[in-house]
Amino acid sequence: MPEKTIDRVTRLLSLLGYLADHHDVPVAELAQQFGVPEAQILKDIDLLWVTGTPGYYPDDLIDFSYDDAESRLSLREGRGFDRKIRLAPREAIALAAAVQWLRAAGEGESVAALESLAAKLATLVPAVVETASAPAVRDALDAAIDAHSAVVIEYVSAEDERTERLILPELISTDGSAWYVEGWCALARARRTFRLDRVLSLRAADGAEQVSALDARENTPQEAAQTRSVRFLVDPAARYVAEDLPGAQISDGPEGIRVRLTVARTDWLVRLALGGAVRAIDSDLAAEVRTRASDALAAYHSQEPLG
Amino acid sequence: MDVSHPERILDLLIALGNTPVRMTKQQIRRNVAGYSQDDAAFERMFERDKDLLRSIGVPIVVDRDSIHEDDVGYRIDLDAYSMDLSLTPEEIGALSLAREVHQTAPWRDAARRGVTKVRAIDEAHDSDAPPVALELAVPDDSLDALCEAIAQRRRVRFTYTGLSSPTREREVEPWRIIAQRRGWYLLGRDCESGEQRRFRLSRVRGQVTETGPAGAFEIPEHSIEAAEAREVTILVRSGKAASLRARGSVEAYDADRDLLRINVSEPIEFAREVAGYGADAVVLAPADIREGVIARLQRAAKVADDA
Repeated sequence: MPEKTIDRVTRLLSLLGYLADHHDVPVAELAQQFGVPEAQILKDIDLLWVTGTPGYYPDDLIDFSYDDAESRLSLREGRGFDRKIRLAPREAIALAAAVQWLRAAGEGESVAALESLAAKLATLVPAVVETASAPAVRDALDAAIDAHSAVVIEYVSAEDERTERLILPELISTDGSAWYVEGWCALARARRTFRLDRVLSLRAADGAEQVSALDARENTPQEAAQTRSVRFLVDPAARYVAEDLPGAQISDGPEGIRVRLTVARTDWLVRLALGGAVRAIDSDLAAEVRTRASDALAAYHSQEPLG
Repeated sequence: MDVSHPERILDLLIALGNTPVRMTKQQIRRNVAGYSQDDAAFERMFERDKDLLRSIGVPIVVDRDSIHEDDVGYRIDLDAYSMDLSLTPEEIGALSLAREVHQTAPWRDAARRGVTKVRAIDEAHDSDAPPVALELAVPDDSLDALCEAIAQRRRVRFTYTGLSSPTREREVEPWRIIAQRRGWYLLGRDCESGEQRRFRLSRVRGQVTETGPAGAFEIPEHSIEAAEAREVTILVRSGKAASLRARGSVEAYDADRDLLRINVSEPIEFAREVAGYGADAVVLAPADIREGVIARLQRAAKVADDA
């Protein structure tokens, strides 16, 4: 894929910024610094060399001295841009969020640097990313990922079912509010993602479990999850609920916001409907919603409020 | 002479950074290399280049002549252009991990460019990327304008649909952007009520406009928690509502139920979430949240079959 213009321009300006106070720099060092091949750095320099102020006479142009034999560069004339370009707000937020989160994750060798970075970026960024602190099981999962070994977790699903699962964890992630582990699950015989705050307990798998997990993963054909299409109407006041659903097709109608979506599970949708934001829904789900709502209202009726 | 797109952008940048006063569009078209002499084509190219430069944080100042209003000139504020951040090689290395951490495309792009810029500061001591991932909600369109307004301490106006209030125009002194629970929020002072409020960016309709002078207010010491967080008491069936349990303190209540206490700052969204658990989670206090859940369940009990 060709590089986007915006990325190239950012690097061109950053090259000028680096060369503003680094002199006689090997092209190889620039390539390492900006994560591109040396040939690309030379193309970038060639481009910068012909840019400058209107008129474009030799004195108007950006100028370098280039030692061909040694392949080393110095900036001779930067036309005012021998300086480092500031971070755009979005870039600053992206960096601050990553730092905040890496700190919460407690990543080994960079911990001290991350601490001081957080303080430096705080003055620069008008944004905070709230990151739930990592649950206790994280360390054990990290160790298992590093060792490519299986663990047994006791898990409460979104439907509130409690299961014991043998999993081979592969990746830990967070969306800022909850933490997840993704991996191969022997019970589901497929890749699954689990929320760490629903992991009730965790232990290392024993030798036999270890072998059976690896064998089973080897021998499981990739199968698609069972999906169905659901259609429902959302109250316009809760429009953002529909907009937050990944992959949803949304259209406005007189009776509300029409949503159509392909899903593997429907329990979250029943919950959404119980929350009162859904006006109409597929008939099998509507029946379930009505039953559960009546049960809940009965529970409220029999339970006196406090205070 | 054939001038490539990145080259034309650099020429525009250098021209606007070196102009003694400002440059009008006429002057830009005539003097800066690479622009078409055709009116419509020039407008298109210039707008596109200007947007790109702004999106990477280049402060393009628009000067209007006080007598001739259509006499618009452009220049770049070189002091504002410069990055004011000094980092050690270890810090630059740690910050570079941001490239690996972000999973959503807009944040990955922003992090990649931000890292390029900080790598202009000095050599980087790189460390290995952790096997972890941060999935931040995709930014809303209003994010950049709000960050800019916060930096300049300018008031903003926008159209907003509240959870419990009708769509209307708001005027706000913006303080801070917060990413939380899968969404982006603006924290600030609502000029109408004079109180600290949180606005969810996905409920902002249309453009955010800056209003009034820069430096119009000071950002006071503030907590990023929404105003009064209150304790909610809930009866939860044993083994149920795991994600509610993870956020509060739990004590045994009777043989098959536990008493859960959670601090809640967004009562309306919380009522929606609790209603989703139906009879498995019954709010005892406070009364308004309990009533809110009951009202939602009553609505859900009447959910229709979708046609």
